[in-house]
Amino acid sequence: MLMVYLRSLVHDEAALDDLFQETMIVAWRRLDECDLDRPFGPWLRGIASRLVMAHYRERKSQPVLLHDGVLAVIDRQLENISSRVGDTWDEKVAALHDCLDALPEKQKTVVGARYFDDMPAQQVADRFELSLEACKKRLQRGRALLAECLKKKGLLIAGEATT
Amino acid sequence: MNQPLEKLRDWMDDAESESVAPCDSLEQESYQEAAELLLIHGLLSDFGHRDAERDSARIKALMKSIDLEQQPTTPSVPANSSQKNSSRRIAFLSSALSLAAVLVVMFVLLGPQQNVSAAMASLEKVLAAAAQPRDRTYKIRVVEEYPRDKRPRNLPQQVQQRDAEEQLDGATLYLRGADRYVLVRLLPDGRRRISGCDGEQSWAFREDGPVHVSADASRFRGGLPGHQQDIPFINIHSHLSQLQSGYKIELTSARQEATDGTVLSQLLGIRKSREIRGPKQVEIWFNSDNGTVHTMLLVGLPRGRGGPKSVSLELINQTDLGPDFFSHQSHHQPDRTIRQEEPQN
Repeated sequence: MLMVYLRSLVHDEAALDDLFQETMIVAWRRLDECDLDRPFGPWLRGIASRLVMAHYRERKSQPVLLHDGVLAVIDRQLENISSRVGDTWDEKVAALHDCLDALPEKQKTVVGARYFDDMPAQQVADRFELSLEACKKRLQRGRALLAECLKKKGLLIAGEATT
Repeated sequence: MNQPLEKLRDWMDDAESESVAPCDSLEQESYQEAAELLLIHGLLSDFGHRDAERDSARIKALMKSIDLEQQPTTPSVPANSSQKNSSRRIAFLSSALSLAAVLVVMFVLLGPQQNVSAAMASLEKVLAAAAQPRDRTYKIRVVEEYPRDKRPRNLPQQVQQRDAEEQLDGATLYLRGADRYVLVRLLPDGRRRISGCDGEQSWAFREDGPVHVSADASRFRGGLPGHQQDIPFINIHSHLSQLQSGYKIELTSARQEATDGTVLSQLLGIRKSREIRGPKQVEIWFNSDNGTVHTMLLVGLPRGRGGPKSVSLELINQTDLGPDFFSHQSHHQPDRTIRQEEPQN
């Protein structure tokens, strides 16, 4: 689950590996500070988010996604997934496969190329002979449809924005 | 679409984009939408980047780093505090190793190697759990003996005698991490023979005899099944390590419930060839949440120089044994004669 969280916030693969390692090591060192009466995931993601912020600070960029309000919603959603029935992460997120299958063909093809063939939007646009803007809109629409579908299946919770 | 969300979209889909809009430009009502899009992006990216080898390497690197963190001598701590820290570490490992657990199911989508890879991922998890400095107590049972006429005829008399004297059935094995153990066996006359290793030196003594101490950590393991066949029977961690290379591993769909309600998964290891000097089959029931081995059944142990055909180890306790439990002083009176063995070349 930590990798999903990190992948939501960071692109660079090498940086992802480093951030995963760093998060775990910092958590290991600070285990005494962890309150066992509270869920472990948010504590771990708290460490990860601070390291991600430091990562962006080093690059002198300030991503919109690191807003506390946005991170709080991501955290709440991941806790919801974590509480679902299933022994493994994939069992918990099985609904994602169903929702991917249910996507309209137009969105399914671009989402597949973007994420499973690991192509940036420009390459996806070239493959399907779309303008870059049209391709990005399809991708965005695909993600929005997935979010809707996952809410219906209970994987994501629809709720008020957290401040 | 508002401008920050459009920037966010660009960040998700452009190859080089690492920086997006300043956070203060995002309206509060857009938090939910931005978070959902990011999470969907994270879920899809994670799904698209699954690589068993890389995930495995990531876990190995992490466990190595944690091992390095643990190298400085740990000061003695009160039992309560130690138990609390132990619980934290279990929770931590469960979380860290959820990455490995993910692999168990993902291979459903990745072709014919799925079962092998899932099994190896589970084995990684069991290995990592076995290496952690948590205390586990196992009861050993001899499931099957070799018939007398099938025992090797050329056993040295000393080994035959020891075989008859030392009872493995009913012995208790206490383990901490990969290098500390205490094994308590009963002799036919009711006396106990205790051997162990505190991580630096190994030791052994009979209830009424002198304490033999050696700087060789593998000393005093004679008479144990598998010892003569390069199977570190006592060292479950090393034993499991051997499984990775010498056995065909299968994660079965069987599930079992331990007496405390823990759901156990099953790993089966079949020896790849006779050249591997280990049992023909290894069956492991482990806690799928944290990798702890609950039952290990070793079937078809090499006859080598004696010993039973099949033995089982059953987890009976996981409470903290205290900081000094693995030193010999904890198991005998202070006035006992100590015989320090000279290193053998």
